[in-house]
Amino acid sequence: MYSRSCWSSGLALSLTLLVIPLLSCHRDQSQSHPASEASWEQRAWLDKAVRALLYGKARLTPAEEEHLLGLSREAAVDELMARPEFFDTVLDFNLYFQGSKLESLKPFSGKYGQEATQSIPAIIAAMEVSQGGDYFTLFDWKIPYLIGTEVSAPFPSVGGKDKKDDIKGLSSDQIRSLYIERAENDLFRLREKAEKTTDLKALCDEIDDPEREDSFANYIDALALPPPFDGLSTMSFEFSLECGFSGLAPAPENVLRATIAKDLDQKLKLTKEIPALVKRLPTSVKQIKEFVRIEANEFSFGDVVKRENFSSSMWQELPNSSTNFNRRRAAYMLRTYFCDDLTPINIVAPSGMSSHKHASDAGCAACHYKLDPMAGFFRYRGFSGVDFNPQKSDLLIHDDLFQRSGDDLKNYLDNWRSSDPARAWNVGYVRSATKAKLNEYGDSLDDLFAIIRRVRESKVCLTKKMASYVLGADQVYDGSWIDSLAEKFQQAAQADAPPGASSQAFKDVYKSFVLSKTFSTPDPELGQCYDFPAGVKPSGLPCAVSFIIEKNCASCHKGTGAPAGLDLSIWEDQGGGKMGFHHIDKDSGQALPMATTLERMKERLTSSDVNRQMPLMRAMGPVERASLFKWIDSQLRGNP
Amino acid sequence: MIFSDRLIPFFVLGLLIACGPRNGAEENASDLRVAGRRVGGFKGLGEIEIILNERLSSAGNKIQMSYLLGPALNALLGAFTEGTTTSQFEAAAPNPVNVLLWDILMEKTAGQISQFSTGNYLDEGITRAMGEIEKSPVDADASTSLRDIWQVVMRYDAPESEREAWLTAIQQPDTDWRKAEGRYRTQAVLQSLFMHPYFLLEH
Repeated sequence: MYSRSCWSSGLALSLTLLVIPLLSCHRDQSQSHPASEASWEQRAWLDKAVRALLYGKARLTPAEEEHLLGLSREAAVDELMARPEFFDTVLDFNLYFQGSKLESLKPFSGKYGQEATQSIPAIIAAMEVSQGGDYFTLFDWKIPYLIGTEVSAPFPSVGGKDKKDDIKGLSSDQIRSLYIERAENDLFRLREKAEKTTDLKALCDEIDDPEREDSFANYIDALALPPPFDGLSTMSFEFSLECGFSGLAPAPENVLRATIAKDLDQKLKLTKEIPALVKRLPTSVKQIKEFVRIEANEFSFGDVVKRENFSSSMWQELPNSSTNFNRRRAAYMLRTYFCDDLTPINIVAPSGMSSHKHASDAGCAACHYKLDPMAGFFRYRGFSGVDFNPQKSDLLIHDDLFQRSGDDLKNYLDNWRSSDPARAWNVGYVRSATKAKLNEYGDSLDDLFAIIRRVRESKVCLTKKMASYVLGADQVYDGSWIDSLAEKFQQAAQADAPPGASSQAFKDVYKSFVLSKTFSTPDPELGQCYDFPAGVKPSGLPCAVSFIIEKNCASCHKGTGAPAGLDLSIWEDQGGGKMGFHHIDKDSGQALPMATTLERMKERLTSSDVNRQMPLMRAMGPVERASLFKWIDSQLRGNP
Repeated sequence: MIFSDRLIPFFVLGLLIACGPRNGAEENASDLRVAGRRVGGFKGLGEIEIILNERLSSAGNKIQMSYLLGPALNALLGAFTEGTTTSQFEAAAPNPVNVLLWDILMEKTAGQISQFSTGNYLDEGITRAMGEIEKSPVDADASTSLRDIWQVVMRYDAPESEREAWLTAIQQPDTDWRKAEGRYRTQAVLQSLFMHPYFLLEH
């Protein structure tokens, strides 16, 4: 990866720093060496493959190395993919894909760190690959519960010194039983009180009092249970609302009494399930396969705590303030699942667009036309991701604690209400501001994740990120190569795909990258494409954009009669070693310089005039348009 | 030619900076590489610790580097930022400050490792090579043991020609490592390897 010019620059800089030359950067090829060149290359490839495939490994034992060196590279990759460390690589990649990559998955004693165990979808998708299951669970909104916490004894610290004496000499199981019994007694007491008391506000305060000694909360906390049982010590959000803890008026007595009773009944049911859960807790979690997966219907907590794709820390990092209307969440979804970084490129605005608001200004709509409909999937989600579906309550509280209800809430939701009778909401993954049939509309977050599973863009994005992860995104790739690999994922996402197809696609695509020429080339040129689909010859165009141009432009801009004299199928020497597209000025018959060609392409690519924007009257994906725009811009700025 | 291995870090500083991310690479947030790291940028302390342990440690022993500088400075050596939606590898591009920090860290690390030229704290191969370098006369041809120590530390990270260039450079007659005694000679050799761009940078 270190070119001669790089070494020369290093030497020059060193000379500047030290005045005297210290060390030559020469590469003396005449020196003898013990291993043959091929052997060195093969060993270098294997070392690199081990790092790329086995998380946390930098080398194998000598015997393992010799064994793998005796195999074909493909067979060696297959063997490495069968090792448990590969599934940590899958997890690490999943976290990278989600923007959650950690410095270390296992910071202590080979066990997964707390941060890693909170990334449930990433772990589940890695488990699926290890079991030949459905890798695309990474794209599910509703996901199973996962326990990565090992069995631990209850904390013997409940209720002060006197109470500690109660548990002296007891085993962990006995302490656990004692605590559960006490928690149940506390719940029964509160439940009876909820039936009889006339002062429900006082009961609210008593239940909510964190200092309750010998209480349910303290005992449950002491059991150190994994999620979602760890949430048993807190009451439901409805309870908080109806008790008036958020500053609102308390709910009517009958409503509040029913909510308290329901909450307490659920918790009583759960306390009876704790022993069964404890039996399911893993004894060791050092490999992906040792996580314990629990489906929602196995315990009654399925009714109590929803298990969703987003973790609590993701909701906190992506707040819905009273002014951003979920756009930060939308930008995250577009960036993460569609590789759309919202490069602001003018669009052909739909008719009737007003300009009194930032989001509907023609220039600003460059982003908002796709950002706002994406944000609509989150419209009922308030602070910390709480679901304020108005079918349940006429209230929404933002992360800045601004509260909406009544007309204010209705006006907020009107931002996404559709005037098109074909759909109730302008909520969806939008490719075109003017052609609704090109877009994918939906309503709920389940719909959004179903769209992600279904559309090709998410698979292309997954493939691009995998290329970045394994090979480096500053390396240019041929677009048709990436597209052909993404097709494996897309095929696996079809409804009629065989079980495990997505896991196999993951392995196949990952293997393609490790076996690629880009991976094995010792010092690849960043601007050169090394890999192409089978049977495809390089077009001769700059490979960073050749696929985009061939797909979107070259069907018209080709041959002697190409529009505007611009033939985008020919990349030629324009003299002095400068390369450019074949572009002839129709009036003068002279070849136009590359800079002129690029300026014109840029203008046509970003025009908001439907009669000028290229490709004329045809759809072009926003990510492809942004990629071509960025390439043109970098060429014009002299950074090829 | 005047050569001193005291000056190697300054040469490496220039080399690392020049060999760091190329034009335009900083502009694209997705310019990432193996396990999400940037080509031409530092592998990062976490990865280097893994590599050193896999190559140098014997079973049951661990080389720990993270405490030598402390968490605040470790973050300047290339690390993933915390965050569940925006995590990325930062401080990857070599600059005068982080190369100086790497040099301090690697001097300390090499110093500690060089104490174990006997015993079974380290891998058998590195222990033997270190012992030979430590014992060999100052003016002896140490190319075999140097070659061995390169092989254990660098493995195949660098092309073969780089090994030969390093052997030529480190064996110049006036280098400090030649003058140094005992384990300080090993420390100088190890430090020059630990600061090698092919060892420290993603490629």
